[in-house]
Amino acid sequence: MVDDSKVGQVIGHLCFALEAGKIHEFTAAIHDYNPLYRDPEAAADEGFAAIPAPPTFTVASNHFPDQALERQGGILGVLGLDLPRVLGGEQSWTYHRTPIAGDVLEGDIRVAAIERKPGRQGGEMTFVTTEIVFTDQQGEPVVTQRNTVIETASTVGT
Amino acid sequence: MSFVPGASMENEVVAARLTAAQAVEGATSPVYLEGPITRTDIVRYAGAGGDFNPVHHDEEFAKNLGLPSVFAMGLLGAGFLSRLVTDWLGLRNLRFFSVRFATQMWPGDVLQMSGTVSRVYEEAGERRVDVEFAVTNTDGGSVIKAKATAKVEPYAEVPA
Repeated sequence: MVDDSKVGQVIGHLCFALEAGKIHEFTAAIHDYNPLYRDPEAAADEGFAAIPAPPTFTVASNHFPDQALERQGGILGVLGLDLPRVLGGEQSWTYHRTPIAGDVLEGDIRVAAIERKPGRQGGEMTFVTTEIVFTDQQGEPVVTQRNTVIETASTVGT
Repeated sequence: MSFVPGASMENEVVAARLTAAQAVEGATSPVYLEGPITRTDIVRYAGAGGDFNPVHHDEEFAKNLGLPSVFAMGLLGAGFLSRLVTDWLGLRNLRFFSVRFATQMWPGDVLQMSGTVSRVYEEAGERRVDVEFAVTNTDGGSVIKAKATAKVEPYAEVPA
Protein backbone atom coordinates (compact mmCIF):
# COMPACT_ATOMS: atom_id res chain seq x y z
CA MET A 1 0.00 0.00 0.00
CA VAL A 2 1.42 3.32 -1.05
CA ASP A 3 1.58 5.98 1.61
CA ASP A 4 -0.14 9.13 0.27
CA SER A 5 1.78 11.34 2.70
CA LYS A 6 4.87 10.79 0.53
CA VAL A 7 3.58 13.27 -2.08
CA GLY A 8 6.05 16.16 -2.32
CA GLN A 9 8.70 14.26 -0.37
CA VAL A 10 12.22 13.45 -1.48
CA ILE A 11 12.65 9.67 -1.27
CA GLY A 12 16.23 9.38 -2.44
CA HIS A 13 19.05 10.78 -4.48
CA LEU A 14 20.73 9.58 -7.66
CA CYS A 15 24.22 10.52 -8.83
CA PHE A 16 25.86 9.06 -11.90
CA ALA A 17 28.76 9.86 -14.16
CA LEU A 18 28.01 9.57 -17.88
CA GLU A 19 30.65 7.38 -19.50
CA ALA A 20 31.15 6.71 -23.20
CA GLY A 21 31.40 2.97 -22.50
CA LYS A 22 28.05 2.89 -20.71
CA ILE A 23 26.47 4.89 -23.54
CA HIS A 24 27.91 2.40 -26.05
CA GLU A 25 26.43 -0.50 -24.07
CA PHE A 26 23.03 1.20 -23.79
CA THR A 27 22.81 2.10 -27.49
CA ALA A 28 23.70 -1.50 -28.41
CA ALA A 29 20.83 -2.64 -26.19
CA ILE A 30 18.37 -0.40 -28.06
CA HIS A 31 19.88 -1.42 -31.45
CA ASP A 32 21.02 2.10 -32.28
CA TYR A 33 24.39 1.94 -34.02
CA ASN A 34 24.46 5.62 -34.98
CA PRO A 35 28.15 6.69 -35.11
CA LEU A 36 27.09 9.67 -33.00
CA TYR A 37 27.22 7.36 -29.98
CA ARG A 38 30.53 5.68 -30.95
CA ASP A 39 32.74 8.18 -32.73
CA PRO A 40 33.77 11.50 -31.10
CA GLU A 41 34.20 13.02 -34.59
CA ALA A 42 30.65 12.13 -35.59
CA ALA A 43 29.50 13.64 -32.29
CA ALA A 44 31.51 16.81 -33.00
CA ASP A 45 29.85 17.08 -36.45
CA GLU A 46 26.53 17.42 -34.61
CA GLY A 47 27.98 20.04 -32.29
CA PHE A 48 28.66 17.85 -29.24
CA ALA A 49 31.84 18.28 -27.21
CA ALA A 50 31.77 14.56 -26.30
CA ILE A 51 29.75 11.41 -27.05
CA PRO A 52 26.11 12.31 -26.33
CA ALA A 53 23.59 10.17 -24.46
CA PRO A 54 20.49 8.89 -26.32
CA PRO A 55 17.07 10.26 -25.28
CA THR A 56 16.13 7.63 -22.69
CA PHE A 57 19.61 7.13 -21.24
CA THR A 58 19.02 8.83 -17.90
CA VAL A 59 16.90 5.82 -16.85
CA ALA A 60 20.24 4.01 -16.43
CA SER A 61 20.66 6.13 -13.29
CA ASN A 62 18.63 3.30 -11.71
CA HIS A 63 22.01 1.62 -11.39
CA PHE A 64 23.26 4.32 -9.04
CA PRO A 65 20.91 4.88 -6.11
CA ASP A 66 22.28 6.33 -2.92
CA GLN A 67 23.03 3.78 -0.21
CA ALA A 68 19.90 4.41 1.82
CA LEU A 69 17.75 3.95 -1.27
CA GLU A 70 19.59 0.78 -2.26
CA ARG A 71 19.11 -0.75 1.20
CA GLN A 72 15.37 -0.09 0.99
CA GLY A 73 15.02 -1.84 -2.37
CA GLY A 74 15.23 1.17 -4.68
CA ILE A 75 12.40 3.51 -5.62
CA LEU A 76 9.72 0.80 -5.67
CA GLY A 77 10.81 -0.46 -2.27
CA VAL A 78 10.77 2.97 -0.65
CA LEU A 79 7.32 3.65 -2.08
CA GLY A 80 6.05 0.34 -0.71
CA LEU A 81 4.97 -0.92 -4.12
CA ASP A 82 4.36 -4.64 -4.59
CA LEU A 83 6.65 -5.66 -7.49
CA PRO A 84 4.44 -8.41 -9.05
CA ARG A 85 1.63 -5.85 -9.33
CA VAL A 86 3.69 -3.01 -10.82
CA LEU A 87 3.58 -1.94 -14.46
CA GLY A 88 5.32 0.91 -16.23
CA GLY A 89 2.81 3.64 -17.05
CA GLU A 90 4.48 6.69 -18.50
CA GLN A 91 7.90 8.23 -18.71
CA SER A 92 8.98 11.65 -19.95
CA TRP A 93 12.16 13.61 -20.39
CA THR A 94 12.49 17.37 -20.79
CA TYR A 95 15.90 18.28 -22.19
CA HIS A 96 17.43 21.52 -20.98
CA ARG A 97 20.42 20.40 -23.04
CA THR A 98 21.64 17.04 -24.37
CA PRO A 99 23.62 15.14 -21.72
CA ILE A 100 27.12 14.07 -22.85
CA ALA A 101 29.92 11.81 -21.63
CA GLY A 102 31.79 13.56 -18.84
CA ASP A 103 28.65 14.96 -17.25
CA VAL A 104 28.08 13.96 -13.65
CA LEU A 105 24.33 14.12 -13.23
CA GLU A 106 22.59 14.12 -9.91
CA GLY A 107 19.20 14.85 -8.52
CA ASP A 108 16.68 14.20 -5.78
CA ILE A 109 13.85 11.77 -6.47
CA ARG A 110 10.68 13.62 -5.54
CA VAL A 111 7.21 12.09 -5.38
CA ALA A 112 5.20 14.36 -7.68
CA ALA A 113 1.77 12.70 -7.45
CA ILE A 114 -0.14 9.68 -6.16
CA GLU A 115 -3.52 9.02 -7.80
CA ARG A 116 -5.99 6.18 -7.45
CA LYS A 117 -8.40 5.12 -10.19
CA PRO A 118 -10.75 2.17 -10.62
CA GLY A 119 -9.17 -0.58 -12.75
CA ARG A 120 -10.81 -1.94 -15.91
CA GLN A 121 -11.03 -5.41 -14.34
CA GLY A 122 -12.21 -4.09 -10.99
CA GLY A 123 -10.13 -3.17 -7.99
CA GLU A 124 -8.08 -0.05 -7.60
CA MET A 125 -5.09 1.09 -9.59
CA THR A 126 -2.53 3.37 -7.96
CA PHE A 127 -0.50 5.74 -10.13
CA VAL A 128 2.72 7.01 -8.57
CA THR A 129 4.68 9.74 -10.34
CA THR A 130 8.24 10.62 -9.39
CA GLU A 131 10.33 13.44 -10.79
CA ILE A 132 14.07 13.99 -10.90
CA VAL A 133 15.71 17.20 -12.10
CA PHE A 134 19.21 16.10 -13.08
CA THR A 135 21.79 18.86 -12.73
CA ASP A 136 25.41 18.90 -13.88
CA GLN A 137 28.65 19.76 -12.04
CA GLN A 138 27.83 23.47 -12.43
CA GLY A 139 24.41 22.96 -10.88
CA GLU A 140 22.68 23.67 -14.20
CA PRO A 141 19.61 21.57 -15.07
CA VAL A 142 20.21 19.05 -17.88
CA VAL A 143 17.22 16.70 -17.96
CA THR A 144 13.96 16.60 -16.02
CA GLN A 145 12.75 13.00 -15.89
CA ARG A 146 9.25 12.00 -14.82
CA ASN A 147 8.13 8.43 -14.33
CA THR A 148 4.68 7.06 -13.57
CA VAL A 149 4.31 3.48 -12.39
CA ILE A 150 1.01 1.72 -11.88
CA GLU A 151 0.28 -0.71 -9.06
CA THR A 152 -2.61 -2.89 -10.21
CA ALA A 153 -5.15 -4.60 -7.95
CA SER A 154 -3.82 -8.07 -8.80
CA THR A 155 -0.59 -9.46 -10.24
CA VAL A 156 0.20 -8.39 -13.80
CA GLY A 157 -0.49 -11.87 -15.18
CA THR A 158 -4.04 -12.24 -13.92
CA MET B 1 29.29 -4.52 -38.23
CA SER B 2 29.90 -7.61 -36.14
CA PHE B 3 26.98 -9.87 -35.34
CA VAL B 4 25.15 -8.75 -32.23
CA PRO B 5 22.87 -11.38 -30.68
CA GLY B 6 19.29 -10.23 -30.89
CA ALA B 7 20.04 -7.21 -33.07
CA SER B 8 17.57 -6.44 -35.80
CA MET B 9 18.66 -6.29 -39.40
CA GLU B 10 16.11 -3.51 -39.97
CA ASN B 11 18.67 -1.16 -38.45
CA GLU B 12 20.03 -0.61 -41.96
CA VAL B 13 17.16 1.83 -42.59
CA VAL B 14 18.01 5.39 -41.60
CA ALA B 15 15.45 8.19 -41.83
CA ALA B 16 16.57 11.44 -43.43
CA ARG B 17 16.45 14.43 -41.09
CA LEU B 18 13.18 16.37 -41.17
CA THR B 19 13.85 19.88 -42.50
CA ALA B 20 11.95 23.07 -41.71
CA ALA B 21 10.55 23.08 -45.28
CA GLN B 22 9.09 19.57 -44.78
CA ALA B 23 7.83 20.26 -41.27
CA VAL B 24 4.10 20.71 -41.82
CA GLU B 25 1.18 19.30 -39.88
CA GLY B 26 0.51 15.74 -41.03
CA ALA B 27 4.05 15.10 -42.28
CA THR B 28 4.97 11.50 -41.54
CA SER B 29 8.21 9.76 -40.70
CA PRO B 30 9.51 6.65 -42.40
CA VAL B 31 8.28 3.43 -40.80
CA TYR B 32 10.84 1.57 -38.70
CA LEU B 33 10.54 -2.10 -37.82
CA GLU B 34 12.16 -3.74 -34.83
CA GLY B 35 12.24 -7.37 -33.88
CA PRO B 36 11.37 -10.12 -33.47
CA ILE B 37 12.13 -9.28 -29.84
CA THR B 38 14.32 -11.93 -28.21
CA ARG B 39 15.00 -12.81 -24.60
CA THR B 40 18.58 -11.76 -25.31
CA ASP B 41 17.32 -8.26 -26.21
CA ILE B 42 15.48 -8.13 -22.90
CA VAL B 43 18.43 -9.31 -20.81
CA ARG B 44 20.78 -6.95 -22.62
CA TYR B 45 18.49 -4.04 -21.82
CA ALA B 46 18.17 -5.12 -18.19
CA GLY B 47 21.95 -4.82 -17.87
CA ALA B 48 22.18 -1.57 -19.83
CA GLY B 49 19.22 0.19 -18.27
CA GLY B 50 19.23 -1.24 -14.75
CA ASP B 51 15.76 -2.82 -14.62
CA PHE B 52 16.10 -6.17 -12.87
CA ASN B 53 12.44 -6.86 -12.19
CA PRO B 54 12.47 -10.68 -12.56
CA VAL B 55 9.23 -10.57 -14.55
CA HIS B 56 11.42 -9.47 -17.49
CA HIS B 57 14.17 -12.10 -17.31
CA ASP B 58 13.10 -15.01 -15.08
CA GLU B 59 10.77 -17.32 -17.00
CA GLU B 60 9.87 -19.33 -13.90
CA PHE B 61 9.00 -16.19 -11.94
CA ALA B 62 6.83 -14.91 -14.81
CA LYS B 63 4.99 -18.22 -15.20
CA ASN B 64 4.35 -18.40 -11.47
CA LEU B 65 2.52 -15.09 -11.85
CA GLY B 66 0.33 -16.65 -14.52
CA LEU B 67 2.09 -15.00 -17.45
CA PRO B 68 2.81 -16.99 -20.64
CA SER B 69 6.49 -15.94 -20.50
CA VAL B 70 8.73 -13.04 -19.60
CA PHE B 71 7.87 -9.76 -21.34
CA ALA B 72 9.98 -6.79 -22.40
CA MET B 73 10.34 -3.61 -20.38
CA GLY B 74 8.30 -0.76 -21.79
CA LEU B 75 11.49 1.28 -21.75
CA LEU B 76 13.13 -1.16 -24.17
CA GLY B 77 10.37 -0.27 -26.64
CA ALA B 78 10.91 3.41 -25.83
CA GLY B 79 14.61 2.93 -26.56
CA PHE B 80 13.86 1.24 -29.90
CA LEU B 81 11.54 4.14 -30.75
CA SER B 82 14.16 6.74 -29.78
CA ARG B 83 16.27 5.62 -32.76
CA LEU B 84 13.53 6.77 -35.13
CA VAL B 85 13.05 9.97 -33.10
CA THR B 86 16.71 10.96 -33.25
CA ASP B 87 17.32 9.85 -36.86
CA TRP B 88 14.33 11.88 -38.02
CA LEU B 89 14.40 14.89 -35.68
CA GLY B 90 18.05 15.00 -34.58
CA LEU B 91 19.27 14.32 -31.05
CA ARG B 92 20.60 17.86 -30.65
CA ASN B 93 17.17 19.26 -31.57
CA LEU B 94 15.14 17.15 -29.15
CA ARG B 95 13.48 19.21 -26.43
CA PHE B 96 10.96 16.73 -24.98
CA PHE B 97 10.14 13.03 -25.29
CA SER B 98 7.39 11.12 -23.51
CA VAL B 99 6.10 7.58 -23.76
CA ARG B 100 2.91 5.95 -22.53
CA PHE B 101 2.87 2.18 -22.31
CA ALA B 102 -0.35 0.56 -23.55
CA THR B 103 0.27 -3.20 -23.66
CA GLN B 104 3.15 -5.54 -23.01
CA MET B 105 5.73 -6.58 -25.62
CA TRP B 106 6.46 -10.31 -25.76
CA PRO B 107 9.37 -12.31 -27.14
CA GLY B 108 8.74 -12.84 -30.85
CA ASP B 109 6.86 -9.57 -31.33
CA VAL B 110 7.80 -7.36 -34.25
CA LEU B 111 7.25 -3.66 -33.60
CA GLN B 112 6.23 -1.12 -36.21
CA MET B 113 7.05 2.51 -35.42
CA SER B 114 6.09 5.76 -37.10
CA GLY B 115 5.55 9.44 -36.33
CA THR B 116 3.26 12.23 -37.53
CA VAL B 117 3.81 15.97 -37.06
CA SER B 118 0.87 17.32 -35.08
CA ARG B 119 1.89 20.97 -34.67
CA VAL B 120 4.43 23.46 -36.04
CA TYR B 121 5.10 26.62 -34.05
CA GLU B 122 7.66 29.12 -32.77
CA GLU B 123 8.83 28.91 -29.17
CA ALA B 124 11.92 30.16 -27.33
CA GLY B 125 13.12 31.69 -30.60
CA GLU B 126 12.99 28.33 -32.39
CA ARG B 127 10.82 26.73 -35.06
CA ARG B 128 9.47 23.66 -33.29
CA VAL B 129 7.38 20.60 -34.10
CA ASP B 130 5.31 18.38 -31.90
CA VAL B 131 5.24 14.82 -33.19
CA GLU B 132 3.03 11.92 -32.15
CA PHE B 133 4.62 8.51 -32.45
CA ALA B 134 2.87 5.15 -32.47
CA VAL B 135 4.42 1.78 -31.78
CA THR B 136 2.25 -1.17 -32.75
CA ASN B 137 2.58 -4.86 -32.26
CA THR B 138 2.57 -7.88 -34.56
CA ASP B 139 -1.24 -8.03 -34.27
CA GLY B 140 -1.60 -4.27 -34.92
CA GLY B 141 -2.38 -3.43 -31.30
CA SER B 142 -0.99 -0.27 -29.71
CA VAL B 143 2.10 -0.89 -27.58
CA ILE B 144 3.38 2.63 -26.98
CA LYS B 145 2.06 6.08 -27.73
CA ALA B 146 4.75 8.72 -27.60
CA LYS B 147 5.21 12.45 -28.09
CA ALA B 148 8.27 14.44 -28.98
CA THR B 149 9.02 18.13 -29.32
CA ALA B 150 12.00 19.18 -31.41
CA LYS B 151 13.52 22.20 -33.04
CA VAL B 152 13.61 21.99 -36.84
CA GLU B 153 16.49 23.43 -38.78
CA PRO B 154 16.74 24.54 -42.41
CA TYR B 155 19.83 22.36 -42.97
CA ALA B 156 21.84 24.22 -45.55
CA GLU B 157 24.29 21.39 -45.02
CA VAL B 158 23.02 17.89 -44.52
CA PRO B 159 24.59 16.26 -41.45
CA ALA B 160 26.44 13.02 -42.07
